[in-house]
Amino acid sequence: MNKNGQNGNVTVLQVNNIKKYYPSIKAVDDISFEVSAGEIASILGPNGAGKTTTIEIIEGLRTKDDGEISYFGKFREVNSEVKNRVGVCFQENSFFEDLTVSETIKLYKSLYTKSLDTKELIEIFELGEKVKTRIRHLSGGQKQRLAVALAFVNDPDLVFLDEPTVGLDPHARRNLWEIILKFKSRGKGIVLTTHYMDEAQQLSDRVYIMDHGNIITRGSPQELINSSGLESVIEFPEEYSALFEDAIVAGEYAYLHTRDTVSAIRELLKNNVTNFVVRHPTLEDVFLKLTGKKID
Amino acid sequence: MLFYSFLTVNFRNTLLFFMNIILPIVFLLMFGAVFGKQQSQIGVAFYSDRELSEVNSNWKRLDTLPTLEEIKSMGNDVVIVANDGKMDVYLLSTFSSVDSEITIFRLKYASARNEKSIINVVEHEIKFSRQLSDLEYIMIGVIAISLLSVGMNAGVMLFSEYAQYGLFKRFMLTNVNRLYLLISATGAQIITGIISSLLVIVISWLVFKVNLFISPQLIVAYLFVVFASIMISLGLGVILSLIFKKSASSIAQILYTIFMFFSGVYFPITFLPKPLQIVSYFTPPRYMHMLFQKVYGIDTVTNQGFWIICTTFIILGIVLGSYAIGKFLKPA
Ligand SMILES: Nc1ncnc2c1ncn2[C@@H]1O[C@H](COP(=O)(O)OP(=O)(O)OP(=O)(O)O)[C@@H](O)[C@H]1O
Ligand SMILES: [Mg+2]
Repeated sequence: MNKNGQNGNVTVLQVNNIKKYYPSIKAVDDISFEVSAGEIASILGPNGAGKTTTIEIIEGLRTKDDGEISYFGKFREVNSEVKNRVGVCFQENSFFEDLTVSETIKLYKSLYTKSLDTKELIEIFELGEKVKTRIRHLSGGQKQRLAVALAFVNDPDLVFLDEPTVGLDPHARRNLWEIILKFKSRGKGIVLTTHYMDEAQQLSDRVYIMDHGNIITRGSPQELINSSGLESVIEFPEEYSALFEDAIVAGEYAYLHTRDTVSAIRELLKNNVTNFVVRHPTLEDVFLKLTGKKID
Repeated sequence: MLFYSFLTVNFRNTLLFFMNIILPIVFLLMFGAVFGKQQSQIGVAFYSDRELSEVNSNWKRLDTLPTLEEIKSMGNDVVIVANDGKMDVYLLSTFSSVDSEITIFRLKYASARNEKSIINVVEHEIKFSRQLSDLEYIMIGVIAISLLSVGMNAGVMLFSEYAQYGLFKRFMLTNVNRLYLLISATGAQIITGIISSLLVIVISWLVFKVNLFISPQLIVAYLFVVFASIMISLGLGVILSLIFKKSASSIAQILYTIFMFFSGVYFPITFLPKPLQIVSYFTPPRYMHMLFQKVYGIDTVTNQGFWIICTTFIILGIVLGSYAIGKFLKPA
């Protein structure tokens, strides 16, 4: 019945050729991808790429103009069984500001037929100190953590997290990454959107790089880096970009993706450029090479 | 839990608590003070063909046997006519009864002639011609206004704030049922409305001795009016939210202030200049005030009219509420 994904696990989500055209823009233009149990799939793209539109179509919050979606092995609309097995954290979340953290968790639990233990949820998300605090009095980061916690309240098999770490401090971000990885190891299929390259690189089994409503490339982070043919990246001030034909200028810096690092450095030194950096390529460089622009 | 959440919000949210509970009480105290400490005990008048001693000194003695027309027009709540060994009790208002005092009166009347025989008491309920005192008029207006506030704020909160800021979107992803959502949301407002109006009634009594307590047989009608008032106000909040989106809550505050002039909080609607009186026909609080007066025994509308207005309000509220819930719980 259930098709198996690439890691041998069951496919929990399969998206085929979905489209969403707004009068002024093709927000989602023919997108396909799939997610297996125990896999984190990241949709990576700049502002306005269509990430939110894509996952809200899958969640059933927006209609689609074309395409079909299979949830847990069956092509169907989002029905109550699907809702029960799906968890969601929006890009922007809103709450009953005057309820406490524990009341909010109880409220959401009451709206599903199955749920995760409240205590466990509070423990995992380290909300213990704040259970009796009204949402109104939480910090932005604490609210965000609660929003992510609520995505897991119904012990879902498939979870959508739309830019879950925006607004978190570096420590809290890493913390949340660990939590997400913990749920992955419990066999949840997780779809994550982000415009943080490092986040996609650290967490994802598969990355879908999206721009202008299209998925422009896909693969595991390492695959993407390898297949881009990039060996090293040299970053130097933008005013010297004319030294190389294929340097890409983005902001104050120029980026050179090259296999011949030594002659590139020689060229820079010859022109008295000393403030350059040589490093391994990242997903960011893959994106830069594909689109000619930096993601943020 | 959803019902509990809505109710909790009403009492924890500072703005809502202020608007729904504190403000009506402030109005009540303010207007009560302005209109003086009026004695508003139940007005009882009596006629007796026997000489009676020590009758309650607040009761008014009538020197001649009143006709039915006179009884209706004299503006008392209760008129007792003891004549020729019989007693007629005319109840002109539905305010809480004076049963025990009537019994004492009956015993006095009997013992005035040393009669052992039981005096026959006939009760007549006369449903109109009662005039509200200024204070009563205002207090009922305060109740209407507080329900307007509860309902309208809830409508705006639900469909302007919660809906536009994505809380409903989040609910859409759960298995919450629309009807359950509507019932929880309105049920919480009705409970809040009942609490708020009870507070007005109790404080009116404690501070100004204005008796707005409901006799038991009218509790159902009273609750029905509360329900109808909340529903129409909720509907109004829905309309504001649909038209004004995120600015609905400031518009609601303005509308609330305007409406206060037409609900009888400050003065009877007939005091307004004619053109403004016409405007008042389009303001729900006017009708809410009328319905409440009806419950308190004032013939503002016919019985039929009463039920028609109530039912219309309730249906309007349900239709608008379900429309808005449907709209916000639909994929975009
Ligand atoms: N309801 C709508 N009507 C018209 N255009 C829309 C609508 N919703 C989204 N868009 C457009 O579709 C495009 C994709 O938007 P979307 O929110 O999916 O981007 P995103 O990748 O999530 O961006 P971000 O990183 O900023 O969250 C944008 O250009 C946006 O303006
Ligand atoms: Mg987005």
